[in-house]
Amino acid sequence: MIIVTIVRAEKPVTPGDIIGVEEEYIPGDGAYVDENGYIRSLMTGRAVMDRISKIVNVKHVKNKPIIPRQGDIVIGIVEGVSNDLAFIDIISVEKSSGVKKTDFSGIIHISQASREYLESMYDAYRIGDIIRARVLNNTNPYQLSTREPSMGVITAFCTKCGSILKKSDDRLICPTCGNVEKRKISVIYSFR
Amino acid sequence: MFEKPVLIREDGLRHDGRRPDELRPIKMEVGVLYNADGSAYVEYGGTKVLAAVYGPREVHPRHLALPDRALIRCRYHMAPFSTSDRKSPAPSRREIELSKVIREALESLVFTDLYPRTTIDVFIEVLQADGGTRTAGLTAASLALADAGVPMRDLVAGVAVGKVGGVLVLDIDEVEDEFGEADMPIGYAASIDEIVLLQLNGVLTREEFIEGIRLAKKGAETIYKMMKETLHRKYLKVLEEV
Repeated sequence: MIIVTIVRAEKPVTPGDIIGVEEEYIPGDGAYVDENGYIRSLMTGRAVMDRISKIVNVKHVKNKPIIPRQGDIVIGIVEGVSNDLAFIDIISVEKSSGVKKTDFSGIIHISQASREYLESMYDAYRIGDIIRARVLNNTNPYQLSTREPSMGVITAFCTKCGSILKKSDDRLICPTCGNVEKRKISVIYSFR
Repeated sequence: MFEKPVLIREDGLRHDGRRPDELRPIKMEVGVLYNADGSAYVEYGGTKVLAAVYGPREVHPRHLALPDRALIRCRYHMAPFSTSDRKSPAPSRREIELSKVIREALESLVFTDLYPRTTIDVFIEVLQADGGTRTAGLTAASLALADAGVPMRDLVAGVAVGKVGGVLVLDIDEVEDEFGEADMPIGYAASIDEIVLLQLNGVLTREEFIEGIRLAKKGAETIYKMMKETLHRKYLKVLEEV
């Protein structure tokens, strides 16, 4: 029986550094194979060589560039609403290394807004709302989903007077003018 | 500067006391700017250059975005106070050309197809010009890209070779550029052995050209090592200690 003692080897690299040869590893993220068969780094960071799966990944020292990826949770502001779409300005991404600032745009289709039936997108989102959503794809503009209970509006503003709406049960009520509004409310709504 | 100075002294040294194959004192630093995603500051003797990189980020205006890869935009600019006579801050014909050659040099190294519909913006600001600003700018841009975590095949070091008083010299400065016979800036990616930028101003014979390339590669390798050292000093020292 062969006992693999070193499962992972790490070494600091800069762009262009040779990590290994094509026969040794499969280049994962942050690595590439040049025309001579050498695996080289694409970034400044740590090359992590997995001796079992034979994959070598390079992680940037500061986890840059910060770009939303499929499955990431993002925070955004509703920039526009049409009957079946909501346009979102993504302001931050929750990565494993923490919440990071970004600036990309996203779209929510009415079918991805809520688990329940929606007559129109205006019943889920209004301009200015701050929302939490999950990214569905890897290309810009990003498709977002708020079907999960923790996704949806986390702060909303009254469409009549502009003050912050308070959550009571599963409705949003304006504390100033008493207006009752419909939204796709996240379970982590900030004001109650 | 009305009179031609002595460019090659009788002892074979240059007007500033350097040997023909000697670089000027070089200083480099990365991560100098807080707001940019990546930044670098490079000094080649009296030439001082600052570079900042933003992105990959969303393209504005939208119609410029490319569906299959990232767009690289590059602005090489000389500050009004960078020369002895005030330089107009508007982009000159020369600056537009240098922006283009530096952009093309970087385009050949950056993995643009990983980030479709985004842009990588590179800003190169010359703070003080004393010859070799495009090569110092290219070095700074490359370091700033590495700092921003933009995936690139290799770092690139820029260095100029000139012909001055009939002698091939490395890393020419303002005086040598003005009164010399030829100026050949080169961008060299040392690890993968690729020349990504090459211009030639003046006349060189075939033999001089080959010798010039050899000299430039040697100089660029020294600068390339310093670039790696700079990145190590800033980021990787911590990792090595663990």
